[in-house]
Amino acid sequence: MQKLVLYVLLITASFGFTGCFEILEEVNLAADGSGDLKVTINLSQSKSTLANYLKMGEFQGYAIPTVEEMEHEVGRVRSALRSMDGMSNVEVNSNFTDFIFEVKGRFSNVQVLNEAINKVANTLNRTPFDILELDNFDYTGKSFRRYFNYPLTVIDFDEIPSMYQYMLDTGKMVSIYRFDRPIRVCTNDDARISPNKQSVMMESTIGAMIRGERTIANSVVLHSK
Amino acid sequence: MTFIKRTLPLLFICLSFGLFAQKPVDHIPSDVSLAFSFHPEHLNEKVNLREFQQMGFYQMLIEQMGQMAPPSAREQITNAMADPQSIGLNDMGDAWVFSKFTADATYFAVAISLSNADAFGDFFKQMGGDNLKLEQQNGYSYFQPENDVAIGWNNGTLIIAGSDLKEDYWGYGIEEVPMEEESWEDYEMEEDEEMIEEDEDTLMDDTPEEEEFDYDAYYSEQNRRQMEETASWAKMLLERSFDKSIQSNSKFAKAKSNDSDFNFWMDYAALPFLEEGGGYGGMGMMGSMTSVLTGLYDGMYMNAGMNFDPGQINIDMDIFGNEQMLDWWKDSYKSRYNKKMFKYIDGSELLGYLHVNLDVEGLFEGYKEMFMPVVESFPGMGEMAAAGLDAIGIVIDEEALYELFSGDAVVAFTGMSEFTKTVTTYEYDENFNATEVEKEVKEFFPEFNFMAGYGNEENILKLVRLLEVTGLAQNLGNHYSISIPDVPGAFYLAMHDDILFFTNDTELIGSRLEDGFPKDRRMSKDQCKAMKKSASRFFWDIPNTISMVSSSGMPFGGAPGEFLNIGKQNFESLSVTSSSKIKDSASTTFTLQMADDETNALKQIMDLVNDMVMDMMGGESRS
Repeated sequence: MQKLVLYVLLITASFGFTGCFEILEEVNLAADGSGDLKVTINLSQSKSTLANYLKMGEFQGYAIPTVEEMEHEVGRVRSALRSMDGMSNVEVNSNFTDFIFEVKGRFSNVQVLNEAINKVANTLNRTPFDILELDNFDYTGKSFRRYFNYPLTVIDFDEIPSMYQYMLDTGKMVSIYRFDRPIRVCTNDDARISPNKQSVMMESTIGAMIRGERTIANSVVLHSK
Repeated sequence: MTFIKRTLPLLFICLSFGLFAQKPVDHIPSDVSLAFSFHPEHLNEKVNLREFQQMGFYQMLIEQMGQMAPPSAREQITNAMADPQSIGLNDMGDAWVFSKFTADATYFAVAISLSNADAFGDFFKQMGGDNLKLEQQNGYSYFQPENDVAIGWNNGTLIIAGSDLKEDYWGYGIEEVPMEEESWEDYEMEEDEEMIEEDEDTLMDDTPEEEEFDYDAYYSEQNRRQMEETASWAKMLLERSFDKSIQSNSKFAKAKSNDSDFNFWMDYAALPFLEEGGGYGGMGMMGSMTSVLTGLYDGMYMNAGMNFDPGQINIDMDIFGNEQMLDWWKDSYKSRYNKKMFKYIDGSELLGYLHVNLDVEGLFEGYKEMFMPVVESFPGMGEMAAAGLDAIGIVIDEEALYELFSGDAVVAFTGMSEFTKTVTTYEYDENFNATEVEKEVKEFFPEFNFMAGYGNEENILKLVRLLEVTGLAQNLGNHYSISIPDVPGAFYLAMHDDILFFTNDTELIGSRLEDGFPKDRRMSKDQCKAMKKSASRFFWDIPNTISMVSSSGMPFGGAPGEFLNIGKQNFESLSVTSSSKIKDSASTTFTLQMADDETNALKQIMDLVNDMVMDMMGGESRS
């Protein structure tokens, strides 16, 4: 799902919209490794600007896809996920008025989840290059791991134009993982554990991630059931 | 008596020396195309220039530049930069950079005042070493290190001169033979002459081999010419073997009447791309167009003088035109300003404005008179185009067009409008369960007011009616609402007091159209006076703008934020004003007003640069 996020970031960065955006990633994990995933990409704070761009049809020499074209891509993502073994109850929703997009589904195990993310990235890939296929999650039965091995830090943040810096520093990434057992410990110091000890939340701006100040990589060690 | 016999001649010689030591300006010929000058003595009367040499960043700069020199010369160069007087340069003497453009070459030179030619000579010899081939000519020393650069100096002036010859591939090696004019009708075919049909092979065999272009010989010749031209130019400047100096050039003398710290003068007619039928103009269509354009610039020259004054940097620019151009400017600028516009500008949070005050008829009639010949000069199409334009004039009522708008207009930015919009976000309970909520967030959009005076209300109403019928404007009584899809805020159109308004200022439209803003919120009298007396004026309130932008919610942290802060603290305003009074020139004044209106502006800027650099480098501000 991180790849999808990066893809969205690349698109929106090239549009150069002003205002914040929010990416919310939620994973509910059962003891047997199955669970639910929901990713929400919320661009509503820039909805008027985005609506203008859609009407313009072109921005800084780049053709802006129409709503129909983007709905078509949403449909392709939906079909790709639904065709995967181990994925069920897949829903992909798009709202081109408020510019809120949602992908959710049930996975049978964490490896299926990783494959689903790679499949979505490949489906959306329009570059001549292959997508870097990495695992985003891992589950051993005792610990749940969120990886973040994408080379964001090779980007020189200071080289980015200041308007995009502002956008990346106000764009928020929130990860929430929920378990059916209490959490013993997390390795990421920025992670917050809920009072009921069954949820962990991390927030970061994209800018902080590019600068290497923060990461959403985390290992969550769980108590035995 | 012996004493007098011996000392008088010596005194006379010293006096003569003093009388005849030439200043740099005496070495500039009158036919140069442009000249830039720096007058440190004039500036030093206002601010102590030598104080800048004690600044930390200046010392650091000297050290760094010294490091770039070879180790054997490092100390000498560092000392020379720290104290130019020590190597004979007159740091309070005028310095000039000038250039002359011709069809064949560009000549340029720097002329710097010397206080001690011997000291300079010693320094030069030290730098040059044993390989230095210094010539002693008629009262000056001379050295040509390269084909395109020569250096020379006499008792009072150092000249660094150069030239750049145009490439001449096509002319190289070709002897020009005058062609006799011959008409084909004069050609008589001889009786036994007949057309011979040759086959292709024969033709190919008869084709002479092309000679290869000898690039080595060409460049060798170019280098030789370059060397000669540079030497000739440099020696002419040093010996002053030209008819008159630039001070005798009437255009220069007229333009540069006031002393300034820096000065730039340019003769448009002497620029090569405006030379009639010249190489830049080209042949055929382009050549004839260039000829017409050349006529427009004939007799035109400009002068700009820059002064660092207490609290201000001023640049006064004058463009001197030929009769035709002056008449056009006079006709364009003889417009009456609608003073009622002043009451509709909210000066309490003014960020800036741009205003123009032109006579529309004078502007367009003059434009037609000047540029119709350009259109007509197009070979083949020109006459047709001109006739077409004349025919269009039958249908279009030019008088009505001229009366539509009176020529005075202003766009003023008077603050930031705040808008709220609804966005979707998420709230989390204590166990991080997300709930979608709607929130109102503030957005900011610059508040502006565009006003244009109109002459014929009936015709303006026809245009407004057109907007209404197309659905772009909605009639709300004494004004119209204009819809611009997905742009935040509301826009309005109104007509009142012979002024057409287009604005997003809801207060102006809602309650200020009758009487304008209260007097305590209007622009200052100085601002109003400046607008009334000018043909155009641009004004920018720097700290106000920065404050408004900062309060708009956009986080300007880091370097951009610091830069904005510096701007807000040190600068007050920027204005560019073009005078409506035309005598023999059109004048424009640029003024950068500093926040501190007492200290000399150059000192303020140097202090600022010094503080910024030393802050970055972590050094001491002063040595």
